[in-house]
Amino acid sequence: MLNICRNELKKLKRQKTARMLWAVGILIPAFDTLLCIKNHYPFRNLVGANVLFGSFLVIPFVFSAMLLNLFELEERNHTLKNILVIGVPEWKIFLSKLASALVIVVVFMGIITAYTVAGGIFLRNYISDVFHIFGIFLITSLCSVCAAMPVALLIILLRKRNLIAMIAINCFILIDFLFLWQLSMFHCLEMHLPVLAAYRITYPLTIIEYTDNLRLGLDTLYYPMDKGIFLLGATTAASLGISLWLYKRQEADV
Amino acid sequence: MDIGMIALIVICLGLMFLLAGIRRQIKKINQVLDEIIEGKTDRRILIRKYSLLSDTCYILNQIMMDNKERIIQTRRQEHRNEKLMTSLSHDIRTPLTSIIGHLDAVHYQYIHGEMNAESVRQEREKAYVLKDYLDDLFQWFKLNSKEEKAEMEPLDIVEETRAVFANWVAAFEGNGISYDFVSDTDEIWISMDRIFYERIVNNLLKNAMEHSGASKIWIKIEQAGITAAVKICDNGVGIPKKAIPFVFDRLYKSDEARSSKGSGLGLAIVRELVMILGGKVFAEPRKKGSCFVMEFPILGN
Amino acid sequence: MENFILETKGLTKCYGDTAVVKGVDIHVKKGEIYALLGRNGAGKTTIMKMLLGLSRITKGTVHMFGQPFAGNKKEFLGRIGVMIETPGFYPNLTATENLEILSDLRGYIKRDAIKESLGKVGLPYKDKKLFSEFSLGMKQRLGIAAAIIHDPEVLILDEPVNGLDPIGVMETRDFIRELSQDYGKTILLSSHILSEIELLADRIGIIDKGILLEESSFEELKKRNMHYILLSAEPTETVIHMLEEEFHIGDYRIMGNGCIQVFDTEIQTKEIVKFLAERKIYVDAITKCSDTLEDYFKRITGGEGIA
Repeated sequence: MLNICRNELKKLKRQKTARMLWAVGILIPAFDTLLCIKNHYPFRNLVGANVLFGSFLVIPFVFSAMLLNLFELEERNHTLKNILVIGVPEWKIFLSKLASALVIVVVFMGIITAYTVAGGIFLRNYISDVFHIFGIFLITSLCSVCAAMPVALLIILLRKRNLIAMIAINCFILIDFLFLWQLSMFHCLEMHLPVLAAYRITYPLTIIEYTDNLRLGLDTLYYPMDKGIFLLGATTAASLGISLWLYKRQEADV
Repeated sequence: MDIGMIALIVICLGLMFLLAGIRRQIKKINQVLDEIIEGKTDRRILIRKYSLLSDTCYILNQIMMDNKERIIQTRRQEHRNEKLMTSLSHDIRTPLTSIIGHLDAVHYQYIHGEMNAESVRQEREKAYVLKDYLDDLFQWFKLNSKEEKAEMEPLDIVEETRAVFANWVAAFEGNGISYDFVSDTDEIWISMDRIFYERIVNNLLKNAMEHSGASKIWIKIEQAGITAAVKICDNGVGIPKKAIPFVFDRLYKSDEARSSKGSGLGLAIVRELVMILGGKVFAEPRKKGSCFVMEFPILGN
Repeated sequence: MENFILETKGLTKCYGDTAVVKGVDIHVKKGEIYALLGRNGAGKTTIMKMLLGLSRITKGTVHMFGQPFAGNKKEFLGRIGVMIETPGFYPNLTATENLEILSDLRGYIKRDAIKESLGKVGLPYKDKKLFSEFSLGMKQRLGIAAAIIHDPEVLILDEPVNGLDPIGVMETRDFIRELSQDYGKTILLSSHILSEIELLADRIGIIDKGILLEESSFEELKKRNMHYILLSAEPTETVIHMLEEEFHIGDYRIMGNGCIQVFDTEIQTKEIVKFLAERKIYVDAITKCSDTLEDYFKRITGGEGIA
């Protein structure tokens, strides 16, 4: 399995799409870190902004785009038959692509952490516990990826039509983010969407320093942990399960 | 549960996984080896690149593949031998049939008087040609099965070549062929067998005189660094460019129809002999005529 | 016979209600070159895909090496080398990197397996050229390299000379022949280029519209069906009538120019001449001929020939 993951990452060498995604993942967090620095936000706000934009926008986008890229790579180049003819079962291919995308997510998390810490140094009121910050990003990113898992379904259904798939994924991520952005409006607090659950249960973790304003925010955004985890878990499991089943069925019936 | 315990447990689990993986690989390898023993020698073992067992499997596969190559070479050799046998019997049968034909004609007295004497002369010639051919063939077989042993001694190749060439002067003059002998050094000492070398030069000169239709045959000896080159050249019909790699093959004859003279073995024997003497022989392409070049390593003093 | 490396029984594939492959029984012996001959769209590629488990089998079984394919898929696939449809490789990687990916998944048989297989097809090792810059001939050669890299016992090649120039066709043909004759590999290939099949195949399976019309060794095919007597005598109808009555010929065909092809070759030509002469019919020309594979194919598939 590790072998297969390594191979998936090798396939991205010199690839234009991969390069663009790397650029997106590197530049956008830099962008909003710079904005925060320019406006002299306190560190905790920097972390919050990076969590919002980084973990809940850039990461799901990069994750789903990379996953789509990995699947569509095989379709475009007719290489899937090569892999199937070696005897690798479809579910292994599916999971390895998923794992590779997750690995890339972790790398991006590291980048965002680096930006945050760098931003903190600039703002001169950072907390030098890098692991803590990395942990924050890790958990938020994982939750947000779990919440965005239904893209896997979209990818499997649309992978043969690259452009449409790309648009569909972007729409999904944007809509998710829209709900997040308008958290306090549109009756969002009453909706039980996975992405909202992800944000709300991880919100307490992202607090670096407590202020009175934050106390209010915490109370509003409170979401029961077990319910949240259940929702996220169910979304992930259902999406992956259905996608895997569809993938297997589609490939077998070529 | 402190971090040490957790790390230990993780390491233990990791090692267990590794071990289980290796056990699985060993099981697969044994399965393949069982099939190989049963006789399915085409089975190969597939193994990951960075496994502990990789080198072992590679060596096992290499043994099987080397075996296979050997079998293929043997089969190819057998095939060549069969072809050799077939063409041999043809080479011998043809002149023999002709001789028998003539003898039958004499026996049944289909020919009389003067014609009788003429046909006896003809068939006698044919018999001698056949004998020469069989001699050549025997020599070639001995060379091919590596039975001939060379007796090497230091000789001056210039002098030896000149001596052999001198024997042909009469034949050249009788056939109106002009000749020349050039050497850029007076003496070049080489380790070789005198009798073999004589044979080589004789064969090459015979080939030049009988097959090229040349009006001039010459020998040129050159020294280039640590090798001595002996070139036997003629200005005759030459060798077509695409035939050059095959000209020393046993059955090669440049003109298929004119197979009356020569057995096609002369050059093949030359090549075998030169190889035994530790040299190289090749045909040099030329615009007009042909040039056979032999190269031998010079004896260090 | 247990001797078959590859055997299918009643192989069928349906897409919905339409059957694209119906009841195909293929038998491939060890060490022979078996050619699937058929027009484009006859079902050759579908059959090959079903053999390898790339396409779901609606009905029928596949047996390989004497065992059913279904249960031993992974093990069998390691002994088969495949080149199906156009060779697919990653355009952003070099040839070596592409083969590395495939070999990492499958396993290596020797340390420099990639170098050797690239050498066998004449491609450079660790070259900087990306696959997207390859010519068609190089792509095809890389496909073959990928198929032989693990020294498989069986090769399944779908139209191996597709798109190659004449030299490439010849080289591929010699290579395939060497693999079969010297190394004893079993090769199943498909083609619609009849001349190539004539030069290579030991056995032929003719596929048309998803049905296996005929399967036999090339020699047998020539002997059995492709020899015929070509007879030119006037008036054609009378001649036919007489021959039917006297010799009970069943298998014959009247060509455009009035010549008659008689496929019952047990009849002696001299008998026909004598018979017709006695009835005052003068034979213009009579000779024993042999169909080319193309003519035979046209005949057996109902006349349209190869697409």
